[in-house]
Amino acid sequence: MKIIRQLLIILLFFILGELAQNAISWLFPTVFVPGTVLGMLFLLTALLTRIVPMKHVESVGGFLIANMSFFFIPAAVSVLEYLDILQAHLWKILLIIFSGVFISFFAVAGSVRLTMHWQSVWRKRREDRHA
Amino acid sequence: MREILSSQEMGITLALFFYVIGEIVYRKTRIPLLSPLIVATILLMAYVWVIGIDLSVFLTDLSGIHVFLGPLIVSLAIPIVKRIQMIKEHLLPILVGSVVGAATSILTVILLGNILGLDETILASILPKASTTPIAIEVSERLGGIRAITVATVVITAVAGAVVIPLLIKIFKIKDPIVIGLGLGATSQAIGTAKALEIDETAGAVSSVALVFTGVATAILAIFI
Repeated sequence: MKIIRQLLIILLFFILGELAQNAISWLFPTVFVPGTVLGMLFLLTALLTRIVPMKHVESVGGFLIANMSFFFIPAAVSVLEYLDILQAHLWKILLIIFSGVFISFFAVAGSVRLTMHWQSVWRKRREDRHA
Repeated sequence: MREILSSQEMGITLALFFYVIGEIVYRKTRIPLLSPLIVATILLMAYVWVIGIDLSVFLTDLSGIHVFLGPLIVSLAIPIVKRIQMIKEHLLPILVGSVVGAATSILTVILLGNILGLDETILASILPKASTTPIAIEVSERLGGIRAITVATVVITAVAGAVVIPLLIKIFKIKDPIVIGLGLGATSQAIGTAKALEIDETAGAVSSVALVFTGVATAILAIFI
């Protein structure tokens, strides 16, 4: 489908998400879910229920995702503005990042393995019961 | 001459040009540290320094690119829908891995950050480091963090993960593509996903889904902070 229309659909979901965020923070002032994430969940629902066919967003959305990191360039370059803050805390930030990589990886790998193990045990039990 | 060198068109042209160079460099080397974003950023910084343009003017020139961050997050629904069959098959491990990835990363920041005495702004900036960059930016700004530090942190985290984790996978002889995909996707986002794809196709698919789930989990967990 045409690029302009795809862009329109994606932006409509973006705006829908922002509206929902406003509604939520009006109802529950302490709760904040990014509007963009809500917009993504709305698009997800619309695609899964086929209210919006995949081909109506595929090319534009696929382009954005395939080239995602390009859109972070402005923020990455603006690091220059904060060099003094970064420098002052650099080793602490790096320490947190590197220990975080190890901790998260082992926690993720361990929990995923355990989950899959339990799943297969449950599945086997269910099969045994049926047998 | 100054006018041509500093305009929104020039900013975007330069960003595209240096990004293309970065893509070529990464395709040739496959080194996570030389990912297109990092190469383009360093070249643009060098450009600012060599030409001697005012940094804040140059950042305004680049700011047009920001407009796409929101639509980009919304579009993350697309890869999920495309892999929905695989997600249904492995829903529980994917959910568990993504939430554990987001939660352990946030807890590490809070615990170590407080021990090391980091101030609130820095803590808020690095808190969503396990999340994919666009969502991390949103969470960080909401918590009072600095966008630039968040992007730097997420990128360093992703590169560190993409370098360290494949080694851990080898050392501990991890073979299961689901574990590999989550181990990389829930910790190193897109750069980790590129690595996961190099290891195994299923691992790459799991990783590309895990990075979205981890981002959403980070946004949800951040509500309670």
